Amino acid sequence: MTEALAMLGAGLGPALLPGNLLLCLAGVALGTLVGVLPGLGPVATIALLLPVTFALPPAGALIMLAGIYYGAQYGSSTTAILLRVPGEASGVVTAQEGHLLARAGRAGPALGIAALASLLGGVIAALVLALLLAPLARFAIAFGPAETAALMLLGVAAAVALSPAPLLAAWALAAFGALLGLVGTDVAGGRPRFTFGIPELADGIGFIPLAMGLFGVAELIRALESGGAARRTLPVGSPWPARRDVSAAAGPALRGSVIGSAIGLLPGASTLLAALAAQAAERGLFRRRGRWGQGEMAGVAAPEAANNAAAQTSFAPLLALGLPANAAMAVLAGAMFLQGIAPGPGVVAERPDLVGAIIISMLVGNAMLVALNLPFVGLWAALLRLPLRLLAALVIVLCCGGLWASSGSVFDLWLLLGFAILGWALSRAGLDPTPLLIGFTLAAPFEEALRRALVLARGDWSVFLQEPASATLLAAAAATTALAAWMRRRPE
Amino acid sequence: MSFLQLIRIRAIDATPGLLLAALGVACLVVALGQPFRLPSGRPGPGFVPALLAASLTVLGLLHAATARGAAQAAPGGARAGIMLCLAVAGFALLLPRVGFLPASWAAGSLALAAAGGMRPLAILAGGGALALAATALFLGGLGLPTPALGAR
Repeated sequence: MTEALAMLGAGLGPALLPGNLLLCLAGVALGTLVGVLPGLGPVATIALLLPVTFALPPAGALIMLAGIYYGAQYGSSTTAILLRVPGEASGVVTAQEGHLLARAGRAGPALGIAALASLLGGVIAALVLALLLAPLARFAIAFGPAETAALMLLGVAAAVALSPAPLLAAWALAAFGALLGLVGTDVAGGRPRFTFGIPELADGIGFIPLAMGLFGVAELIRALESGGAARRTLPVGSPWPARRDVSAAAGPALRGSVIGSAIGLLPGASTLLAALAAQAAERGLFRRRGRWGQGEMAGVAAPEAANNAAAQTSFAPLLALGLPANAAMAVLAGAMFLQGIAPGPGVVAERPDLVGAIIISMLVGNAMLVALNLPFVGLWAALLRLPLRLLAALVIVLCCGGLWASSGSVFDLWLLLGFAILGWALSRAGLDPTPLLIGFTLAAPFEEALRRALVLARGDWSVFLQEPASATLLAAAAATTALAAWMRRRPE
Repeated sequence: MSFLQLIRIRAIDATPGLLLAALGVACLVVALGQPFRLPSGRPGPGFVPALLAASLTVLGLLHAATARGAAQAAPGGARAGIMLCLAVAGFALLLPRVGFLPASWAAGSLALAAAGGMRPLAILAGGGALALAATALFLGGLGLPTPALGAR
């Protein structure tokens, strides 16, 4: 508790600097925008904005990028409720009851409840994050190389398990991503690997062209292929909920906040999983009363609180363990590396001001989101009439210009093209690129930990099973994979 | 469903796995060109890449043998993908030769043409507007040291 208060105290000053408040506002506004617009998700947006973060101080850059991620959860509810089309994956759960409410002429109160439930989820998750980060980091800092390597393997196993791709393909993509992450000069011996005599590859493949291509450009292609025509939305009306709506939503929002906060802490967890779990819990409660499926505020409040809470607590594995829980966190890990900060237990111990500032910014950002979403909900809904082709062209030009501005390398532009084609090909094969990105991000620290563990054990592989923590983590990775295989075999 | 149709579907289903396995073999060949172990007995620079490449090969082959449904997952038209990739390629190709403004114009116009349904003149005008805005932002606003017109 004392550590949490000290961390929040250290972060208060940086978080409330006018520049960082503006970046927080920019992040949450942009997050709401991409959450509202089906076609460009938060991962793609964060990836596309990576070049911008070069010019920003670390705290400001991370505050803005984090704002995009949780802001998108707010924005997604608008599209989900008005169109029954989720702007972001987790919105698919809100769409079920939310759209029924909109069709019954109650779109405004449903959007209002979504914003207020998200606020509750965000505040609870920020407090959970503040309380858990220091103990988690203390636990991880005691890890030796064997445990670190096993932890990374568990992180990949979790990402693979939750990927919509077939299990074997997801593991293969993670291995391919790790191989891409090892391109460049070997840190231990100084020898070039997989560079094929290309000098630009000596420092490795750039994270920005990889993330932009796989997620940014490829996601735009997917959106245009699935038809990006402007749609007609249902009327919104006043977003202020009545007292009975608030009392119907309070319990589900609270339960959703707790469920979402817990699920976000798990490596590999997603906001969609949190929203589904919160909805399942509420459906269990409602089934006994037989009112589910007719447009219930609980069906909006619980998943919205859960997805926002999970978006925020998913920072815990990244900040305390150095383990990106999902694609968005992997891109954020890349942003931290670009700023010269290695995510992991060290950052919690050595930069409490930075971590505290991120958490405080979440509290501030959630308040900003309510102020942005409730009064201006009609404006956000009007954005749904923006043709996707204009957005796509704007993003492509900004993406190419931004990459050129950050690296000044034509080679990186060709890399961007290569990864865009790869992302498009994976999409057409029905394969999700998230495991590839996670593999890429973890490759270098995994290799270092594995090699050090084997050196210390004089080449004896059984060291991974002799250390209790390492053996437990490996067993958890195996169990996660087995469970994922079993879940995929189950009929729908 | 005829036998030939079945073979065709299975071939489409197996293609991603086979491609991944082929990538794995290629990476394995390159990785084996690096020392697997150093003279001191420590794992060399080829050690982890070789393990990963071997895993990729095996996983790719297993996926190829067991995959179902990829044939159904593939969507129809490829216009959007081709045009957006051409937009990036156009920018990369033109930027060092003719400058930022024409490169952005080409990229913006090609991207606008990705969805179809716009007249060529509107595409060129829209692309031009985007290029002017991007040039003002990156060269004017951010001071990017790149000529707006002409080779670097």
